[in-house]
Amino acid sequence: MLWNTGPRTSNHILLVLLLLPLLITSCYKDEVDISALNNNPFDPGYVGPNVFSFDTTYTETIQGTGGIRQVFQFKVNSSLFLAPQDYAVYIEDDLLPPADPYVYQVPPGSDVLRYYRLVFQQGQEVCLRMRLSNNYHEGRAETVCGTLQ
Amino acid sequence: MMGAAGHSEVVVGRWSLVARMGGRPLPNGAALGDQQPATNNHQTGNPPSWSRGLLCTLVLLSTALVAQTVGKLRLMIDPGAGFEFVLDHKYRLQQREVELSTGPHHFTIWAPERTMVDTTFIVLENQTRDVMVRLPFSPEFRAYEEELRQEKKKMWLNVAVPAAVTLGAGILTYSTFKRYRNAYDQLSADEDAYRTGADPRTLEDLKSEVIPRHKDEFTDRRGLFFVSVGILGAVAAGSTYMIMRYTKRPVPKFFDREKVKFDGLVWLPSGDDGGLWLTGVHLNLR
Repeated sequence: MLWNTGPRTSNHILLVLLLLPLLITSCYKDEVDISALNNNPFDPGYVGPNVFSFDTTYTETIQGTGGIRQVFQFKVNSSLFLAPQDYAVYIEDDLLPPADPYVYQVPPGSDVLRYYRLVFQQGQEVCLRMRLSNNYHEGRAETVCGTLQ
Repeated sequence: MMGAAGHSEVVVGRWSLVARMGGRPLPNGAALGDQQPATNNHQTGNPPSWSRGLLCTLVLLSTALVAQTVGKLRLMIDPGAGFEFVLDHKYRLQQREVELSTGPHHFTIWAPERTMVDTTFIVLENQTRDVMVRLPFSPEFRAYEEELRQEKKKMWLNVAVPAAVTLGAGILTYSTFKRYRNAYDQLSADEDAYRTGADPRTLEDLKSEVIPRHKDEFTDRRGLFFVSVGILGAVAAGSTYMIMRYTKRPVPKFFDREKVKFDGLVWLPSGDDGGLWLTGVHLNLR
């Protein structure tokens, strides 16, 4: 028991009692820096490289109706994701607001997505604002432009 | 044994009586005509030798008959172990049953931590008597017991209470440490949630509300942990000081004065050659 030890041993025990908490505190530091939490592309406050890039744009015949539509094809850089995720892309077209602004991965897992425009003009540059989306919540907006040749 | 010694004493006494009545004791076989009787110095003539021999024989016979009447005493002493007694101011014994010559016998009974008791028991012829004696505790032992009680109280105050308070402080410190660690684990979980999350609304809430709240909790619990550690250190230091100071105190000791007095009743020579020589000399220390 403590009172059966000599003075030196008691001092050592006291020293351990006092230093141990300091050691414990050094192991459990507050390492979460909120300002550093900005590297998730799904975060509206994301500050990393662009996620979207223009691939190509062309026209095609709509199967069944025979009409013509513009295909705006773009890519998503999923290598920037912190963890593998499924996603959709929210599109804003100032020239022609879409009936359905969400573009999905077709086939699933594909990072090449297509946005269709029924009204188009050759030689016209089309700029679209794109955001990664999940559960109908959108992340940071990026503008991607392409000209139909 | 004791009966035999008592018998010898009685025989010696009777020899003295024979000497006073006139003539040397028979074993010497000296002539009786040269001696004057001790108790009667005015006789002008000596009785015949055959009458003296007859008288001696009668006296010896009566002596033998008287010396053979003994009885027993069975001593039932409280406490049952460790007691000793001095018999007839001469013999120091430590036995539960004694065989003595009939008549009164003086006992001085003692046991460790008890007061001596003087008493006289009467031994009846050819009977075994049970005698019960309860030795009261000596005043010195009562005082020693009281000192021990006080010492126990002081032990509670100087050892048990500080130890309990230190233990309580230790439990408090452990509790605050657990909460501090849980807060840290929560922040780590929040960081993982940001890294693996894919819902923009959830990520926004995480950064604007959840993590700041958890950071505040972490800061508060870390502060509490430091405070409890400080309290534990102070309490432990104080307890250590009190306990060490208490252990340096002299412990109450019991000095059995009654034993010293009892030992002085009968002188017993010490020595490695063994054997006991009992004498009739005693020093009355009381």
